[in-house]
Amino acid sequence: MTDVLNTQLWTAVENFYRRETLLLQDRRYREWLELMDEQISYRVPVTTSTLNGLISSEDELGYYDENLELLRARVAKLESKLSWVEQPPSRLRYFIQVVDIAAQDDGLIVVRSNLLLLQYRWNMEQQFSGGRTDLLSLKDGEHSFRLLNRRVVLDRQALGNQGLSVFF
Amino acid sequence: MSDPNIPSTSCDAVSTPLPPLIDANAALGEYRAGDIMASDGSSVDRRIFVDESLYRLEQERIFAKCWLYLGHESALQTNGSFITTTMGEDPVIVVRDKTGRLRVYLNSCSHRGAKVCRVDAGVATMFKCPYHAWAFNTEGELASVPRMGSVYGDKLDRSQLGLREAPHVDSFGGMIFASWDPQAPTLREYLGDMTFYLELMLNRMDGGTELIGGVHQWTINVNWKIPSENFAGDHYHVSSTHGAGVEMGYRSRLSNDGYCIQTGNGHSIGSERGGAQQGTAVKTDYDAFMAQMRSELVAKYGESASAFVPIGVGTIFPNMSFMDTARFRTFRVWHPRGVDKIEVHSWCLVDKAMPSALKAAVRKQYSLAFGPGGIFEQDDGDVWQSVQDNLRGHIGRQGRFNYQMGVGREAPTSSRYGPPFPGSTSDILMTEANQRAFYRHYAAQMIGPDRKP
Repeated sequence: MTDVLNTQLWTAVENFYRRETLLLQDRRYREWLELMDEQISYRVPVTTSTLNGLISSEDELGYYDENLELLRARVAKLESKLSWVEQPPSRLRYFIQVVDIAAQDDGLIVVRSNLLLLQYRWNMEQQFSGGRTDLLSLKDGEHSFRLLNRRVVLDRQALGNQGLSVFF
Repeated sequence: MSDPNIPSTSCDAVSTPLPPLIDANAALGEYRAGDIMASDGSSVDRRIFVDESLYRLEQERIFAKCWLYLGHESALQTNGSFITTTMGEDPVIVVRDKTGRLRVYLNSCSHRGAKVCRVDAGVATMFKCPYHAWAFNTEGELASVPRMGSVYGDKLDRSQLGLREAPHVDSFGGMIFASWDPQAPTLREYLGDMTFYLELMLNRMDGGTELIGGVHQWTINVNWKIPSENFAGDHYHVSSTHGAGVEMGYRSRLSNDGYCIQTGNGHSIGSERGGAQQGTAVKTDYDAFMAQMRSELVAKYGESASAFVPIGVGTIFPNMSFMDTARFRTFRVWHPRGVDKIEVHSWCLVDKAMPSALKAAVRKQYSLAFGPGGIFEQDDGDVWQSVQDNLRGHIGRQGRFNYQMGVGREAPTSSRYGPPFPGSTSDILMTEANQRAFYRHYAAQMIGPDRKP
C-alpha cells in the first residue's frame, strides 16, 4: 500500500473501530454482537513460551475460541444479575492504536492494531496489551463493515487475576 | 459447632477407607490440632488458609512428600522433549532422557542456583545455566564447566554436582506424577481406589486420551486449599455462584441426585446423575457420544453403572483437580504461590479416537465454560478472591469455616452402586463429606512429632 491512501477506506475503518470501542467500553454487548458476521471466528489463543518467543497455534486452546453462537452465550451470561464477576460492573477503557490497513484482492480488509485495555473492578485492577488482527467484510448494500475474523495475541502469558470477563 | 471429640460417622472403617479422625492433642505446626480443626473435619479454623507458618509446613510435609501431577505424556513424545512446571513452589524440569525415561529435576543450577531453563516447553540435549554456563545433560549430569582445569584444577567432582533429581517419577493413564519423598509409596498405592474412577475417565474409549494443545494459565488471590476442596465436593455452590450459567441454559438446575465419593488419601469425586453441565444452550454431538459410552459401561457393570458416565468432579490430594462433565473433560493444578495466591494451569482432555470435528467442538465448549474466561470459572475466581481478602484482618482470621453438611450419611459406595465401585459415598449429592475427608487427610500429613504445641 502506498502512503497516499484511499481516505474513504481509512475513514470507514476508523468509524467502525470508534463505534466498536464505545460499545465495548459501555458493555453494550447486544449491540456489539450486531457488528459480527454470521461466520465470525473470534480467537484469543493461549501462548507457549519457547526459545523462539511466545508462540500460539490455531488448533490449541484459546482463552476465547468462539463462533457467533458461543459469543451470544457469553453475552447472555454476562447479562444475568447472577453474573458475579461483573457485579458491580467493571470500568473499562480501550485504546486501539497503530492501525494498519490492507485491502485484499477478495475485497476483505485486513486490519492490524495494538490493543491496550485497562480494567477496574471492585476487587482488583488489571491491564491487557496485545496485537489484534481483524478481517472486515463489507457486504453488498451495507454501509458499514462486519467483523469476520479476529485474532488477539496477548503479551502476558498467565492471564490476570481472578477471571477474565472482558472482550478484546 | 460440633464437639471435636465425638466421631460423627458410623462408617465401617474397613470397607470405607475414611482418613483417620484427627488426634486433637497432636501437634500441627505451632498449634494443638484440636484447637484448629474438629476431629471429624466438620470445622476448620480460618487460620489454616492464611497462617504463614502453616504454609511453610505444607511446603515441607505436603508438597515435598505427596505425589504431584506434572504433565501429560502426550506433550513429551520424543527423547529430549521437556516441559517446565512447579511442585509446590519448587520449579522443575520434566524431560524424556536419551533412553526415553521420564526424569524430573529441580530447575536450579547446582553451583549458584539460577534457573537452567526459562521456557515452558521445547526439545534439548543440554540445559545451560546463564549465570556461569555450567551445563547439564538430560540425565541431569553436570556435563560441562567452563575453564574447568584452569580454575578448579582437579578439585571439582562433577559427579557430585548434577541437578537435584526427584527420586520417584511415574505415570498413570498418560498423566505424569512425581514425588520428592524417598520413602513415598508407589503412585498406584498413593492413588489407591481412585485409580478405578480415573480409569473410567481416562480409558473410556480404546486408545485412551490425549490433551488438546496449550495450557490455560491464570492467577487467583486465594489459598490453594479453597479450590482443591471446592472440586473435592462442593456441589452446593453451583446454584448460587453459577446462577448465571443456569439462567442462560448452559447447565440445568442442580439436582440432589448423585454421589459424593471419597476413596481415602484425601482423594474425592462426585457427580449429579448425568453429569455437570447438562443444559439446553450451545449443544454438540458430545451427548450422543456420552450416551454410547454410558451404554457400554452398563453392559460391563450393570444398570447402576449408568450414574458413572461422565464420572464427575474431583480432587487428587493435594492440588490436582479434574472435571469430567456432560460437555467436556478438564484437569488442572492449583499451584501455590504464597499462602494467599495460586497460579492455575488447566488443560482440556479428549479421547484419541474421537472425530476431529468433535474434538474441536469440545475444546470450544471447555473454554466457553472453564479456564479464566469461562462463564462458570470466572465467577469462582471472583468469589474465592473475596474469601481470601476477608482473612487478612485480625478479626477476619478468627473462628472456623463450617463443614457439617451431610454428616453421618456416608456408607460404602458398593452398598449403593454394587461391588466394583470403591470408597464411601453419601446418599445425596450436596454434602461436605469429601471436604471433611480432605481436611482429615490434610491433618494426617501435617501432624508431626517434632513440633510441640
